[in-house]
Amino acid sequence: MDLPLLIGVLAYEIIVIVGLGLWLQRRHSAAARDEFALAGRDLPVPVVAVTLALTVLGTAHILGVFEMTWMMGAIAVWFSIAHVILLTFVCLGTGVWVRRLGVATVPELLDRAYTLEIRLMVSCVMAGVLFGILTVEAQGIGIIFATLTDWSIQTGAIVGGVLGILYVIFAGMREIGWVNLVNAIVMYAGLIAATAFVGLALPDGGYAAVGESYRLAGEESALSIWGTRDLFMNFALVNVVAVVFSQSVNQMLLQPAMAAKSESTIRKALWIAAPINGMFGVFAVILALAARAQPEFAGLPDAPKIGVTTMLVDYLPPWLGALLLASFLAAILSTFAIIALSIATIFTKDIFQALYAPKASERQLTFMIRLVIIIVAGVAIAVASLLPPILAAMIWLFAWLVPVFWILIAGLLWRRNSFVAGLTLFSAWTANFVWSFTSLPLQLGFENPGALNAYVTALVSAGVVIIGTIVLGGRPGLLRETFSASGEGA
Amino acid sequence: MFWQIFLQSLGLIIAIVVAGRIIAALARRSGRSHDKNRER
Repeated sequence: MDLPLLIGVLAYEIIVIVGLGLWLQRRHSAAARDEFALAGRDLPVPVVAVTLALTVLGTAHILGVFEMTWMMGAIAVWFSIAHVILLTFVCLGTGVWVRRLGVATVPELLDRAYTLEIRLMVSCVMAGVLFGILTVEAQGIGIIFATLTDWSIQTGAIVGGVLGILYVIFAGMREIGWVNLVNAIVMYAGLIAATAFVGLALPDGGYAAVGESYRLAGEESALSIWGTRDLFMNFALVNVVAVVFSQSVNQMLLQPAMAAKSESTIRKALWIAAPINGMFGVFAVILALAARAQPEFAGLPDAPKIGVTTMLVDYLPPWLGALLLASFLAAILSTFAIIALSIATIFTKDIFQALYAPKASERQLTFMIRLVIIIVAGVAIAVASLLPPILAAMIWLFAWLVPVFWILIAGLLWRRNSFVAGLTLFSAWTANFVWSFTSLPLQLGFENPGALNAYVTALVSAGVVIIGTIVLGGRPGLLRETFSASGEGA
Repeated sequence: MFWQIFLQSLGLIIAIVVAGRIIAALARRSGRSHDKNRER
């Protein structure tokens, strides 16, 4: 990419991020309650919607979907569809519940439903999982820079990491929300323009010829979003289970819901959030199918990983390459920023304030959140330069949150028993550890145990929480108590 | 190929959202009637 265009992209990002950030910082006092972490709980529908959509739209949606489409065909769009189901569950379920109970973190909710010990255990693990995802996002920014410019992945990760810190450091959640709203427009402009331009640049009649080449090769199922029966069971459904069970209780996705103006804001936001997130994957799938049908890209060494980006660099004019870089940056930076904010919020509220500074002022809490954002983002950039594998890392990390889903659902809607909750967390995390680091799965005859961690933790945690609660009983769920007191329905 | 995948996916996304809203509305209604029964 030309140097002037690259400078243009970076200048655009800096002007939008720093400009909006400083403007919002001046308009809203950092001393107001919950201002930095939760935007004073007054974000409107479009900001909440776009932030929910972009929070779970990051590296995996771009690089992961390109690679999965190359290997499996259009069924890779189910990675996006799984996130649409997740957003539906959050906007009509968990997101509404956390907003109603007025908590600032998911561990705080567990403290109200169970005990401080459960809160601390989940805080530590959730912050660890989020940090793992943060390193993956930092690496994703580095890879995007490296493919669309001539930078190294490490340089890209450092520049992206600095932009990611700026994305949140001035005005916290309010800044993330409004910058997301501007960036979402750029993101879709870049994506639609790139897809249209590739269609014009493709030889022999654009996308129609791409479809024809798959049909001639006897690979018609690659063009269907339903794929084959085997792929549907082993890929589409697995994605839905892993994504919905782990992400619907994740702080990074619930924090925008906690910051919404009201419960109905979150419900309405679903109409915008679902298509924004879901359709991104559709464009990614179409671009990847087009690249795979061209012999010059299909024949590249390591084609599934670099085929699509090579096609984009080859086919698109430099100005559109720049717009696409801005588009991908928008997707990944928004995720990077909110993860850094979530980790800092958990540390500040659940550990610093809960254990050491219960009377800390709002200004002190905001200072601590900002400090932690800079530290964790800095360390994540350093770890990202070691290049851990992206999708395997995501699936393994998600598995740690699955028991939190089960104790949270039981504690809100059914019955809550602190001993059973503690036992559930301990059993599921031990199972995940044993499954990952011993030869047990191989002895049981599983050849690819890495993909099954989410199933293992789901089975163990559901089993322990259901049997434990039936046998030992417990107090009514927190939301059932709240409804009875207020006379409201779910 | 483009429009086939685009429209199939968009239809599926809208169907998921509508189904979610119907399920949530039913759950809310049954929650209300459950609470009323308990009050009686």
